Amino acid sequence: MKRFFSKALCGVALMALIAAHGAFAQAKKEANILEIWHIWTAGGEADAFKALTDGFQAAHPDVKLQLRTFSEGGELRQQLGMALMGGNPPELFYCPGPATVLKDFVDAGNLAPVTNVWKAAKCEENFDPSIAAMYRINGDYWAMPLNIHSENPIWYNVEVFNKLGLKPPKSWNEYKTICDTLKKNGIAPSVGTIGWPLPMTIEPFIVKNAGVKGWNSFLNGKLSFTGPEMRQAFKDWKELYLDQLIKDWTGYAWADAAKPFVEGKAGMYFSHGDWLESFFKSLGMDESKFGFFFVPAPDAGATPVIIVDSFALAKGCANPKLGGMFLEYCASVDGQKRFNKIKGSVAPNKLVPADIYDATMSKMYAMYRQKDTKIIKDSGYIFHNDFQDKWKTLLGQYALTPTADVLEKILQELESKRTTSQFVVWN
Amino acid sequence: MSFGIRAEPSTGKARRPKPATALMGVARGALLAILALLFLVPFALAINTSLKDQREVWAVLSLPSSLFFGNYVSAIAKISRGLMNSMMIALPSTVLSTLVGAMAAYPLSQLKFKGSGAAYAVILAGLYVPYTTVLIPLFFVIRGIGLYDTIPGLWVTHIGFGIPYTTLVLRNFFITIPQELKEAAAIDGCGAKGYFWKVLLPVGRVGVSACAIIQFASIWNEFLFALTLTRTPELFPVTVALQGFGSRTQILWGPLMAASLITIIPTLAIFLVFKRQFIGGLVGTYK
Amino acid sequence: MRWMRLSYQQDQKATAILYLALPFVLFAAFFLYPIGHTVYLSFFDWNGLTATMKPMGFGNYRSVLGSQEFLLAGLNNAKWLAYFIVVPPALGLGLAILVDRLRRGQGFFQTLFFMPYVITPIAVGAIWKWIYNPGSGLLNSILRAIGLGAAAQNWLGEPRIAVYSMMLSASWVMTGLPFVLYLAGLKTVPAYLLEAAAIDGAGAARRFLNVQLPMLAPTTIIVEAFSILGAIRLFDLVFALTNGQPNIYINVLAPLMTKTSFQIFKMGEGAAIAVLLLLVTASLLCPYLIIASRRAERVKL
Repeated sequence: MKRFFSKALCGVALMALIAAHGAFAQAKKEANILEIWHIWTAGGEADAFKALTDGFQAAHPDVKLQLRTFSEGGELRQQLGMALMGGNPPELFYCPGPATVLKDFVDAGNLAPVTNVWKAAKCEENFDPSIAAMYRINGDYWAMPLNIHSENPIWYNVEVFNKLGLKPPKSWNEYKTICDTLKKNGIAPSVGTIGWPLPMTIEPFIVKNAGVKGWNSFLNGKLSFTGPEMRQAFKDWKELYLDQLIKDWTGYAWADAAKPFVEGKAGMYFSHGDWLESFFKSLGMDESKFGFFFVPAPDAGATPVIIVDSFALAKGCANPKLGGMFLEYCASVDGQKRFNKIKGSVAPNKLVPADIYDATMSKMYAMYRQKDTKIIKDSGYIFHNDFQDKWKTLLGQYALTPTADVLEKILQELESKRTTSQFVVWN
Repeated sequence: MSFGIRAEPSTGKARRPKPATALMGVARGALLAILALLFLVPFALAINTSLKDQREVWAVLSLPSSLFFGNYVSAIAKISRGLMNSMMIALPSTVLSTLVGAMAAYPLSQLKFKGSGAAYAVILAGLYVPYTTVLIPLFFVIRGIGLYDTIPGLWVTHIGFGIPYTTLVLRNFFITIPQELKEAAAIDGCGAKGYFWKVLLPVGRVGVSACAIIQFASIWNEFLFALTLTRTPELFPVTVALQGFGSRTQILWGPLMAASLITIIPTLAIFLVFKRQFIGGLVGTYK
Repeated sequence: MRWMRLSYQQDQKATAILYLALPFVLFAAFFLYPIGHTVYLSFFDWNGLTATMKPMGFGNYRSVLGSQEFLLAGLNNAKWLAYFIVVPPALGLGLAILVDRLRRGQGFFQTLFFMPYVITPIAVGAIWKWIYNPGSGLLNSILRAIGLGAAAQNWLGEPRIAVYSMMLSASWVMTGLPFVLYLAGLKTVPAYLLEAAAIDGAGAARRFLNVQLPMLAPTTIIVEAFSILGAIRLFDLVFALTNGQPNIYINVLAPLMTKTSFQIFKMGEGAAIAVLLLLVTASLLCPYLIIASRRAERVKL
């Protein structure tokens, strides 16, 4: 045993020397390193980001990119918090917009303003004004948007619809008829999933009962949970969503749920983001076989909820100039073209030619440009994290056990949380 | 007088097997075979999936239409560095933390002194501290001693957090080693200090091996500390590298399964190596 | 050091201090300081980003104890604790008894049953999610293939059975360690005791209960310690099986604490949860371990 331990200790000492050498080599960050943290670890998203970084690298060959990925935003923010505390944050990190998180970072003094980059890249002229407004806090700009994703289109299986003679509905009554027809023919009206996508599915019903104006009140924390609009919204949510879902839907993650849809076992995929498009394709579904629609709101046409992927510049990073260069590239036509083409999203830069979009994204693009379309914001990024979490958790509780008892309990808890929480007012 | 640990494989069967016993033997064998099969099913699923193309992954029951080794290729490409890092983290940490645990277990099990009970209780309390609780203060401690984003930093962390585990296991093991050994050694001129190295560890190698196996397994599979205390991708152990196979919108199942299967191999190897010492120690004798 | 001829007592004490020194320094740095810091933090409102923290007395504790999420999660922890104390040790012991009688191939079974213990939680989660998938998962597919389609369930999605489905997965992972420990423990039972009992006419069951089981007491203590540990730390597995977002009916305290601190950024509240978790488990389990350890010493014949 003693010989074993002494051999082991020698091995350990050797490793210590190797590791120490490695450790000291990392001590200081060189001046040409650009560290970027993001969440696009795999698949089409990773390819899209690679296309972006390749383009940047071609234009700036002497910059060395150091990329770090996380499987989701919460983890990134956690590590970022510690890096900021430790005084050695990365140059750029992924930050979704519009986001209360962005504002939190700004208020905490963790970000460096990038107004100069916006000016240099002429973003105010070239970007959609509603997008620009999301990034303007206290007169400065704080991050650079890369794309626009729509989170709540209702996807439908074209073959199933054609077979039963159905067409995208123009009202919720028509929608109910579609559901009934599908059910009568043994097809589940829709698939769904529990977890983070769930809050998006109640959004259309809040808009149905309170209008776009009401949705904005909701985001500002001014819509009562125990008031008539919310109660009716929950009633509609149960009738038109929860009761229309495929059997055992709570056992599927959002990606699993796509399968029954692709196979025609369900007619629709209700209220889920346009990243589904490339996912359907990867499951072998041709683009002509699926489509999307929005049911018009009382005071608007389509009401897409958007999220925007963007990058922010951390204060106190080693090489902020390099960060600025990358952000400028992100705003450029070339950068946005490369990224959005593969990501399956729409570019905020109006100068990006529309021919990079496939059939589905072209339709999406056209939808954004329609006069009566009102872009609305995702509650997940407007609410403070703790309120959003409570909202998501309690919605999940009702979805799992949709009884009147549970409904009353959660409405009361949400209302009391609403009156005691702080909300950020975004216009 | 001989005490406790004279270990031989227990011979449960009576010397003259009766027919009923033979039937029981068959029943037992069948039961064992069924359980073994059940245990294998998830592995079979993993292996099956790792050999499939991304599109076939969802057809759970069927075998791959053709053996697709591409998953293994991409898995190895992505985690080879991680495997090496995990080795560099886990091996020294295991050796050192087992040693430190033995150091703490020795006085608590063999020596009589006031406060040994209290000391033991305090160390045990550490067992119930969830890792996530101590993450932020840990970050500051490691940064304070200049070991942030280094592999030695992880060694120190694992040694520190391994103390309750290793002390518990080894103390409860050492306590079964009779005091007579110590007295005999003292007669031969070996003081309390030397006893540790010369007698206790060799005699206790069963417990030490068991402890080492368990420590290795948990350090190898550990994720949270590595994620928090390392920044540069070149230092990531394999558990963090495995995160690279999945994002919020897409998970590469095939390569993920391939990579996971690959990561079992080192732990299994350590298990097999130490197992022999383990068993060997059991059939040895204590002088 | 021959000039310092310490008395037996002093030698004992000096050695004790010498050997305990390093472990204690490390322990203080990694446990005492962080716990102290966490307790301190639980009395503040802090979001982990800004430098300022707002003191708020017991406010965090009040809101935690009043929240449905916390109480449901705590209830689940209790269920899991009961499970961990009973199921993996019992299964491990059962397996050990079965395998111990084999004349050959013990090593093979040892490796087989131990392997799940060392596979990473992400992979475990992925595999079992496929087994449990209601539509095309392995379990339901097999049930349908043999005509028991009606028994097919929404194993992970149905709140009433989800916890039990997860316990099955946990059994696959966690039985390996008790099994290996018990197998080794069985081998330390002296053969002559068993033979003596057989000669006295004791059947297999009697031999087990009166000879083997008591001698397994020290092993059982270690097995239980690890099991209880698993219950408290129960995190990776729940996470992996629920895509990182356990719903309110199957959540347990450790993920809840992580979520509160690192995703909702209420570090003070998260710290309060951690402190509560610590208090409950320490007060319940430390005495058990100490008493049990003392009893183990007495078994030493």
